[in-house]
Amino acid sequence: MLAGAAAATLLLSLALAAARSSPIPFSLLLLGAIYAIPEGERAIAAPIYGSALLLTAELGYWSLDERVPQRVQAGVFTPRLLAILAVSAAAIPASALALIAAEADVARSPAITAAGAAAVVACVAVLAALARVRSGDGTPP
Amino acid sequence: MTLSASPRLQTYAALATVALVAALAAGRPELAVLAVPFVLLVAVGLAGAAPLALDGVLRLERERALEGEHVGATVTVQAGGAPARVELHLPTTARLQTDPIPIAFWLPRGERHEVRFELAVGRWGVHGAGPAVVRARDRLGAFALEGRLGGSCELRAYPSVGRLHRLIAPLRTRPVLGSQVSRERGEGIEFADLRPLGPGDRVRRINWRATSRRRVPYVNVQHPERSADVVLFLDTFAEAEHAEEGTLDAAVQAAAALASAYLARRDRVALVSFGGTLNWLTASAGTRQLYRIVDALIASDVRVSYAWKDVTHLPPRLLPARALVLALSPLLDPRGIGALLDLRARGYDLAVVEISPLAHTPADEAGSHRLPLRLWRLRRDTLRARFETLGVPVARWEHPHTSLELAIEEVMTFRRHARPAPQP
Repeated sequence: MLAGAAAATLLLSLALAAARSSPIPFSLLLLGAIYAIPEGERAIAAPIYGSALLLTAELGYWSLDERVPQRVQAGVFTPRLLAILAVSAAAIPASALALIAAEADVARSPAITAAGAAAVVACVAVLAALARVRSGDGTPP
Repeated sequence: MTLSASPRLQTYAALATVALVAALAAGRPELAVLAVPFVLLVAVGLAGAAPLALDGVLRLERERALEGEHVGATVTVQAGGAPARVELHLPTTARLQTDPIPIAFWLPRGERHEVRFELAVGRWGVHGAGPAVVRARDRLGAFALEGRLGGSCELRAYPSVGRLHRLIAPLRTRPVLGSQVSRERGEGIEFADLRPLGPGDRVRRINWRATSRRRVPYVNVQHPERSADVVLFLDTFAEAEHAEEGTLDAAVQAAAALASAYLARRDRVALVSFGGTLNWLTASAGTRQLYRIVDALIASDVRVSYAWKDVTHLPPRLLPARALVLALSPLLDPRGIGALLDLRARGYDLAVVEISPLAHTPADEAGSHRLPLRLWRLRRDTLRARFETLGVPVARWEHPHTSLELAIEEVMTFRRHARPAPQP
C-alpha cells in the first residue's frame, strides 16, 4: 500500500515537473485503488477521501494551466479557488448520500443491476457530449 | 469564436466510468463513492455554467505614425455571458510589435475591461493591427471560449526623412524661377561670362573693369536660378531582404529624403514605382506633393510578376524631356535594368543609385558561396561599367553601412566629367 502511494506521488510529481497532464489520471486511479482494494476498516471515510482526490486532481490541473507565462492582474485566482473548494465541499455530503444508499440492505436484483449499468451508460453519454463540444461547433452545452 | 471543453472533464468522466464499472463488477460500493465527486464536478461544469460570450473592440490612438515611433492602443473586452477569466493576447507582428506575453484578468458578467498597450512601429508601410486573440474560461475552467476579438485597424507608418545637404544638380532646367543654378546664361546671381554690350542690355550690367581694359563696352552674363523636373524612379521588381530589412526599405527612405530636398528647392518631383505593379505620380511642386509622394511610397511593395514591362508602359507626360531621372534600384531584375538603359537611350539625364544587395545577404560562414558570389559581383561590375560607358553614373549605396550622401557625392563627381545626354 505504501509502495502504491509512493508510485502515485511519483506520478503526480512527474506530471507537475514535466508539465504533462497525462500521468495525473493514472495517479488518481492508483490512489483510488489503494483505498478500495483492501478489506476492512479505513482511517478516512470514503466521501472525504473522494473529495480529497478531486481536490488533488483539480489543484494539479490548475497548476499545469498556469504554466503559460502571463501578466496576471489582481483577483484572477480567487473565483476558481472558491469554485473548486465549493465543489469539493459539496461532494462530501453527495458522496455520503451515495454511501448510505449503497450500504442500504437491499437485495440484489436484476433491476438494481440494470440501474447501475444505466449509471455507467450515462457517464459514457456525458463523454460523448463533451466530445461533441470539443469538436468546436461553437455552441455551449 | 470556438468553445471547447477542458480535457480534464473527459478524464474525470472516464475515471468515474471506470470506478462505477469496477464497483458494479466487484460489488464494492466504496469505488462508486469515490467516483461521486468527479461526476459532480463534470455535472457542475456542464450544466452549472452560463454560456460564455465576449465582445470587444481594438482602437488605435492615431492612424498615422513615423517609423520607430510608439502608438498607443486600447482593447476593450466586454463579457456578454457568464463571468470569465480572460487571457488577452495583444496583436503583434514583426513590424508592429508589442508585449507578446498575454494579460490575464477576471471579467464579471456584463462588465467591460480596458487594456492599454503600445505598438512599436518597426518599419514604414501600411500595417494592419489586430485582431487580438482572446481566451475566456468559466469559473471552474471547464470550458474555454477562444477566438479573435476587436477586428483590425490600419496604421500608416511613414518613413523617417533624412536631411540631405547636397543634391545632384539636373543638367537641364525648366524656364521657371527656382533655386537651381542653371547652365544656361541669362539674368541671375552667379557670374557666367562676359560679352560685348548689345541692344537692350542694361547699363547696370556693364562690367566697367573689362570695358576700360578692352575699350569696348562689355556686360556681365549670369547663370539664372531655375527650377528643374526630377523623376524618382523606384525599381520594385525585386529586392534583397534579410532580417526584416531590405533594399526596398533603403529605396523608400532615400526617395523620401530626395523628394523632400528637391521640393524644398522648389523643383517639381515625380515618382515612378516600376515593378510588378506600376504606380506613378506626375511631377508637381510643393508640400502637398511631398505628402502625396510619401503616401505613395509607403504603399510600395515588391510584387512578383512575370509580365515584361518597359518604359512604353509609362504615360509620356510622366517623364518631361528635360527631367533628371534618379533611379533607386538594387539592379537585380533585368526588366528594371532594361528600363533604365531604355531611358538613357531616349536621351534622359539619368543617374542610378544602386542599393547594394550585398549588405542584405546572409553571412556565408562555411565559405561555400565564395565562388558564385565572386562571379555575381563580377557580373554586377560589368553591368555598372556598361552604364558608365553610356554616361550614366552608378553610385553604390551600401545601406545601412554608408550614408546616401556618399552615393550622391559619387554621382556628382562622375557628372563633373560627364557630358550631358544627347537630346532626344
